[in-house]
Amino acid sequence: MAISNISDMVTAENNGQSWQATWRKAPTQTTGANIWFDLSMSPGNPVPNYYIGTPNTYTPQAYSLSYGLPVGMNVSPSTKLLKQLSILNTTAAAIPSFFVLYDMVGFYPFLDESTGGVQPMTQTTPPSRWYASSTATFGSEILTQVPVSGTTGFTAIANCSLSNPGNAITMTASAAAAWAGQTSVAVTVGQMYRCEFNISSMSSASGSLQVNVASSNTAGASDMFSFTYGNTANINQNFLGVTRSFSFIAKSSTVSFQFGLTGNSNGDTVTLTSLSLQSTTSTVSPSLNKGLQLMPVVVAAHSGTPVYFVQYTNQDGVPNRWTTQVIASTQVVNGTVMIPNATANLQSSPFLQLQTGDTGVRSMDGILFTTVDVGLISMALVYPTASFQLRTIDAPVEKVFFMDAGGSVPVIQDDAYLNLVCLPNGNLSGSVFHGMIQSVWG
Amino acid sequence: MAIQSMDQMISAMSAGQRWRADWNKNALPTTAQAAGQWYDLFGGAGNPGAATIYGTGTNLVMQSMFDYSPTTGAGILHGGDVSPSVKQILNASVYSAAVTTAPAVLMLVDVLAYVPITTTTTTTLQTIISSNTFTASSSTGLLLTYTNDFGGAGGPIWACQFTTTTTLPTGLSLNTTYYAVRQSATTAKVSTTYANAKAGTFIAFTDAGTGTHTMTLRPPRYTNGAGVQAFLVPSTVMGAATPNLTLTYTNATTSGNAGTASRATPSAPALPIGNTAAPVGSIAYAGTGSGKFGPFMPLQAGDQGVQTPTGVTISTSYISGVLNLVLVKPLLTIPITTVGVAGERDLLNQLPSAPVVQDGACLSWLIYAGAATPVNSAFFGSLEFVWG
Repeated sequence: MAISNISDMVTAENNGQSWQATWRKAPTQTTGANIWFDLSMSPGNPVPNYYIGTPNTYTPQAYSLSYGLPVGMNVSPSTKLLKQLSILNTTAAAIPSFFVLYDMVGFYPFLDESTGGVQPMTQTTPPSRWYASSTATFGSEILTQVPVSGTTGFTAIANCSLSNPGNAITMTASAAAAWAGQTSVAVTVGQMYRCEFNISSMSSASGSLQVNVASSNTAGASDMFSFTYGNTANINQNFLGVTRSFSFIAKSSTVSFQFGLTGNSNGDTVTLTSLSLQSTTSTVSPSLNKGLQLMPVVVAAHSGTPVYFVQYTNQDGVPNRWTTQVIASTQVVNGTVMIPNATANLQSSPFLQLQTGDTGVRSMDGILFTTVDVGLISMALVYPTASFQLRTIDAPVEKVFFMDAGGSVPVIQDDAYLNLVCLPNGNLSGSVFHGMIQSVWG
Repeated sequence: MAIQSMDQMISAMSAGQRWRADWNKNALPTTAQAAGQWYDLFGGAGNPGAATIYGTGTNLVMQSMFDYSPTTGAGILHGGDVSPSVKQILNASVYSAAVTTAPAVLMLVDVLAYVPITTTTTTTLQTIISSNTFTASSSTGLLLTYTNDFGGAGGPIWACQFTTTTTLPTGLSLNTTYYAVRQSATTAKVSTTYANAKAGTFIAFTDAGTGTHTMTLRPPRYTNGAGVQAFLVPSTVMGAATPNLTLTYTNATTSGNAGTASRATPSAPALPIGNTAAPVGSIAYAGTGSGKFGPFMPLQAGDQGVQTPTGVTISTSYISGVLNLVLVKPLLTIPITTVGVAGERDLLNQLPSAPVVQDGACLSWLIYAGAATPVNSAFFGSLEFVWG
C-alpha cells in the first residue's frame, strides 16, 4: 500500500522506512552560461558516470550497477517517494542554476558524429524501470519426433509461429529442408514483446539446435531492437541437448521464428526426438513509459556545430518517429548536453523535442547526422523526476515535495539511477554542489 | 497521550511541560574536517563535554547509551523522562561564527548503542557479542548470570529479549522486551519496563526455568529496530588501509518481534570502503568516490533498520586503530547556510512534524562538512522540547 497521506508518511518514517544521505558533485569542466550540463559525469559522490558501453548499443543503468544518488535499497512491493532534496553551493560563478533530477534507465554510448546516414541502435532488453510488464505464460507444446538427416550446414526442421499472441504457441513440423529455403511463419506483435523459448527436452542430438528469429522479410523494417534494418538476420544459439532459453524484444511489427539443427560435417544423422517450447510475454502498461526522454551528452568533443535527428519508438510502440532537428551548441566539453544554447530558438530543455503527439520514448532506434563533425555523444534515456533551483551561494535550497511541489511527490523506482543535469549561469568549474536527499516508502 | 493539536501544545507549554537546551559542540580537535565528509561531533569539546566513551568496554561487546550514560558519553539534556507523556522537538537551531564552517548540514541523532572494535587487524568475520546464554537464580529477585559485561562501559541498563531451548524462568516470556539492570560484570536483574528498571523494580524469582536460556540485546529505544541506523567511527586513528567494511545484523520489524537474521551490507554497487588513516570522529567510509557512503552503512534491500548487530568484517587489516559500530536513530537535519547566520528549523511545519524523543535518549550531532573546517571550530544551537 503506497503512502497516500501525511499520516502514512509520518508513520512510515517513524518506522524507519526512510533513507537519507548526502551527495556531492564537483564539476571540473569549463562551461558557459545557459547550456545544460550533465553532472553525472562529474567527480564526487556518487562516482562519475563515463557512459561506458558498446557503441550504439543500449546499456542499462542502475544504482546496483554504477551508483547514482543514494536513496536506499529496493523496497518493492512498497512504493518509494522522494520526500526531500536539498542543494547548496559556495561558488558564485554558476549561480543561479536550474537542476533536473532524473532517473537514467540506460544509454546508447559513443554515437559517432562523423558518420553520415542513419546509424542503427541495438537493444536486446527493455528498460528495467518506467516500463511496467506483466508476464503471461503461453503454455508449451511438444514437437513430435522429427528425424533429420544432415550432412553439412544448417538444416531446418520446423517452423514455429505465435499465431495468437496471448494465447498459445502453434507449432508445425515440416520436413527437413535447407534452412535458407524455409518460408517463415509470421506473427504480428502488437506491443513491446518479449519471447522466451525454453527447450525443456531434446535427446540424442549429435548436432546442435539453433534458433532463427528474423524480421518479416521486409527490407529495412525496424522490427526488433537487436535487428534494426535487418543487418543481422538470425539469433543462433547452440543448445546441445540442455535446457536453454533466449529472448529478444520485438516492437509493433511482424516477426517470424524458425528452428533448425546443425549437422556435423562428418555426415552423422541428427535426430531431435522431442522439443518443448514455452513462451512468455511482457506488455507495457499504458500508464508508464510515457515519460522517458532522450538526453544527448558530449563524451568526445566536436569542433563545429553538428546537426542531427534521432529516430525512436514512441510511448505507444510506434517506430520510425523522429525528433526535431538538433543543432549543437559550440560548447564541446564532456558532459555538455548537446543541444542548442538555451537562449536559442528550438530548444528549451535538456531533452530532445519529440515528434508531435509523442510523450515518451521506448527506445532509440537510430541517429542521423545531417551535418557531420568529429566527436562522440552518448544518448541517455532518462525519466525526469524533479526540478529545483539554486538561487544564491551558501544558502541551501530545500524542497519538501509534499509541501513545495503542489502535493506532487515523485516516485523512485527500485534500483533507480538518480543524477542531475544542470543549467548554470556561468562556469561550473570549481563549483561544488552539496546536498541531501531523503526518501520514504510505504 | 501525545500532543495532537496546537491548543494542547500551548497548554502543555503553559503548564511547564517544556525544556530548552542550548548546546555547543566543537569540531574535532586533532584533524580538520574535509569537505564532503561526515563526522561525529559526539567527541567534540563543548556542552555536553567531549565524549570519550567510544572504544571503552570489552572488545565487540554491545553497550547501550542513555542520557545518563557516564559523563564520558553524555548527550544533550532534553528534560528527563516524561513517559507516559510523549516528548517532541518543537524547533532547533544551529550556527557558527567560525570562518569556513559553512556550508554544512547537521543531523541530530539519538545514540542508542555502540560496539568497540579493537581487533581491526582481523580480516575474518568478527562476531559482535550482542547475546549471551544465562542461568537464573534468586537474589532478592530474579538474577541472571552470564559471561559478558554489557553495562560496564555504557549505561547500566539494556533492552533485551529472551529465548530458551525448553522453558524460561517464570516471569520471563518469549517475544517480549525487558530491561536488564547491571548488578555486576556478569549479573543483572530484570524489569518489565524502562521506568521500572530505573526505579529498581525487578521481576521476582520463582524458578530458574529449564534448558539453556539466551539473552539477546536490542537497542534501548526503538527496540524493534525500526529506523535504527549504523555507522562506524574511529576512537583511535586508523592505520593506512582501505578495507571493505561489512555489517551483519538482524533487521527491524514493525510487526511482531523477531527480525530476520543474517542480513548484511549489500555488495552492490560496492561495499563501504574504509578511509585510509581515518581520523578519530570521522565516519570511516564517508567521502566521495566509489564505496563511499554517508552517514550510515547501507542496509540490505527491504530493511528499515537494525534490530541487533551480529557481526562485522574488515576485509583487509586496518593495521591499527579502534573502530566503533554505533547505532543511532536519526531525528532531524538542519543546514548551516552562512557563517554567523543561524539555521533555524521549525518542526511544526516540517514533515514529519515534531520528532519524538524517547525517555533516556542520548542526543548528539553528526555533521556533513560542506567545506574544509578547521579543528575546534565551534557550533552552537538550541533545541526546544514539549511533552504532553
